[in-house]
Amino acid sequence: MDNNKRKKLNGYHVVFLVQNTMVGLGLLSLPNKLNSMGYSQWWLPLLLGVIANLTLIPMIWLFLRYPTENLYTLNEKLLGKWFGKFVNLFLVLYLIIFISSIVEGYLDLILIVALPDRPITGPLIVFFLVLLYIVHGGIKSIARFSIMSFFLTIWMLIFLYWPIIEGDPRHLLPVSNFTLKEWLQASRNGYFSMVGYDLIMIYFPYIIHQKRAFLHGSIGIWITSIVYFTVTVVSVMYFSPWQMEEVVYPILKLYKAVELSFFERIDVMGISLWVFLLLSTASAYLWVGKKGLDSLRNNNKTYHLYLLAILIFVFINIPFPKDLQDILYDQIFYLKLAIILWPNVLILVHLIRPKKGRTVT
Amino acid sequence: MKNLLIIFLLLSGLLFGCSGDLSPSSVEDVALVSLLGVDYVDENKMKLTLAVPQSASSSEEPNQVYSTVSGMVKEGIVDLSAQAEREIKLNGLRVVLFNEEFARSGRMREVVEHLYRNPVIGGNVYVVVVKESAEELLSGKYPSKSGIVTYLNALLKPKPHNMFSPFTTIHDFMYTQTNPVLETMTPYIEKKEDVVEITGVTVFKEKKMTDLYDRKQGQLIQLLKDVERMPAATIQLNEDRHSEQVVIDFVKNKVDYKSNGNIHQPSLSIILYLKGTIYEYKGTKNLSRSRDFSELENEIQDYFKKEVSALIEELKQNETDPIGFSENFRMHYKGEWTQELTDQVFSDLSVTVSMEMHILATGTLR
Repeated sequence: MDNNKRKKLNGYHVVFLVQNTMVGLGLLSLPNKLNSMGYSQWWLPLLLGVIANLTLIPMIWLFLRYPTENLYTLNEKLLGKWFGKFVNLFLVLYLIIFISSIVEGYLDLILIVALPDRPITGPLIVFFLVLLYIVHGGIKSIARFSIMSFFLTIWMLIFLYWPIIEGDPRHLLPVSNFTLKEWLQASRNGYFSMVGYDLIMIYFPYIIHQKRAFLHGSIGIWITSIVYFTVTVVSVMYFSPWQMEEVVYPILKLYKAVELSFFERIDVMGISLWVFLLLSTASAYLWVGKKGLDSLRNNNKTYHLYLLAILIFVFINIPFPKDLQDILYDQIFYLKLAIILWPNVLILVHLIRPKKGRTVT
Repeated sequence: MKNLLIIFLLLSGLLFGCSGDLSPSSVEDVALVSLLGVDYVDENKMKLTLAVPQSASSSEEPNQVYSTVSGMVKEGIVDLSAQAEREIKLNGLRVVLFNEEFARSGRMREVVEHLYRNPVIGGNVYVVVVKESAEELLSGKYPSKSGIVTYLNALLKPKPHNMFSPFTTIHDFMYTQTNPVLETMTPYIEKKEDVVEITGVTVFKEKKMTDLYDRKQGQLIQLLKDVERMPAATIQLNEDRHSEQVVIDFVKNKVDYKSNGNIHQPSLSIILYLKGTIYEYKGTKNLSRSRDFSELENEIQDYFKKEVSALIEELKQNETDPIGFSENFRMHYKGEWTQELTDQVFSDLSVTVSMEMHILATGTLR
């Protein structure tokens, strides 16, 4: 294989890596998250897509100037070794909490829908085995798994046909029935589901066509935004305002509307297939975490991966009080926002520093 | 290829989650409830009746029926587990029946909400209101049918010939209960000796069932709700002069609403488009003559216009709007829409009905 080559991600790999790391668990509860805007929320995913695409520009701009660096090494290079390492440590801790939050969220859901009244430890261990296996193959294996996940799950959009038939398109009007505060709250909650494309800052050095990475990244972002848009439009048509507020996993209810003579309970199948989306998201994050640990310890060891997996496993199994956990997972948002805006800080440093650098060399 | 194989093998390991120690080992150990009946006992109590299909042909009866009195659904099911030799599961629930008294008491919403919350229950569970007692209907004998479970399932499946009934699922029930622009409707069934018949539709006012409409009115309501396929209708024309009777089989119908968007002086024009074929006609007209034919079309148009206007008038008198006319005003309104706004718009609403009727064919005889 091409494990020894540094550059191994082609255009398709980039598109689906970006796309699949974004669609994790967020889509399941997206219409509920955007609820503060009520029925007017349906066009918000498009706006969030635009914002995501705009924030991709500084990331690509910066890394085109440092084509062999990833975010960790660049932090050390631009911010100094110790401060850079401190930032990286912070990033790795964030990744551990983040992966825990999505895996735990999914397992909670499986516990409710597919495997009620059963202990979750067994499936959790198997989940981690698969996760480690994928990440073990490196970023290209994750990219390939993302492509597979995409095609194994995207066809489920067909099932939206039933809720569309039953829904009322008049709910889409009026378009602007919200206040500024409601809009800000919905955007904040909704942006949770958009993050993930920022990982491109870590796998950028592995991309073959770096000059076209912006195009490929944008395609990935827009595939996600359009999927989100479709789901929110259908939810708005299908639900009453009360249901938009109270139904935590609207997609489950949308799937429950499906009537097929030969298949019952599409929702259970849908949630089970969702494991692919979750695996591709979690594996990309885990790989990024491993890279972080590598850069912190200045070497490239496989056991870093296992160490991270064990930390995440332990973190999931620590019985935190639910309130604390909710606050923690909720506050991660600001960290995510900080990471997305981080390249701007680095660009600033880059613009100030090079003059010095050039005079030295 | 080898890698993919390993991934699939590992993923299939996730299925181990499906085997637990206390879970039943075979279908015979589980009682999959198909029908759930709820009867009114008093303000805090209800009587739950479960009908479970028998899996083997060992028993003469095709179904088992269990009953208990309890305050809440879950409590009742736990009680019933003490009677049943198998584990009671709601995963296969198809129909929930409420008796009329319970529906009028306003507690239906709390029971349906409980079922809607439960993730193991599917989305296409139908909600119906029974005239007298759900328990009586479920434990009744239907010698010509293959058991109440299959019978009610088949009866309540939406089919073109029974589309006068709204076929409310638990989602629809919660949707209409919680949407301020329209009121809930459910089918209304009665036990008549050894058959069960859908005799009308119920309409709620907020949480309580208040009105009952017959099948003909039910059909007009469905027509106004823009249901695509309608059952055949028998129409009595010119009751004052020589009487004519027509049976129309509807092929397609569509309804358009145009509102002025003004909630203070709401006016709404309703345009109905109907296409149908005539298979039975009793009267003096010669349908092969185009003049008589178009005259008949006009008469049918007038008939429907009159009927629809009368229905809307009756709904306005009862102050319930199961069709959701005020949705046409909500879509132009900025701010939160409330039940009060719906009531205000509906009571002030002026409606003009117009209609386009096309008769496509009159059969293969002249």
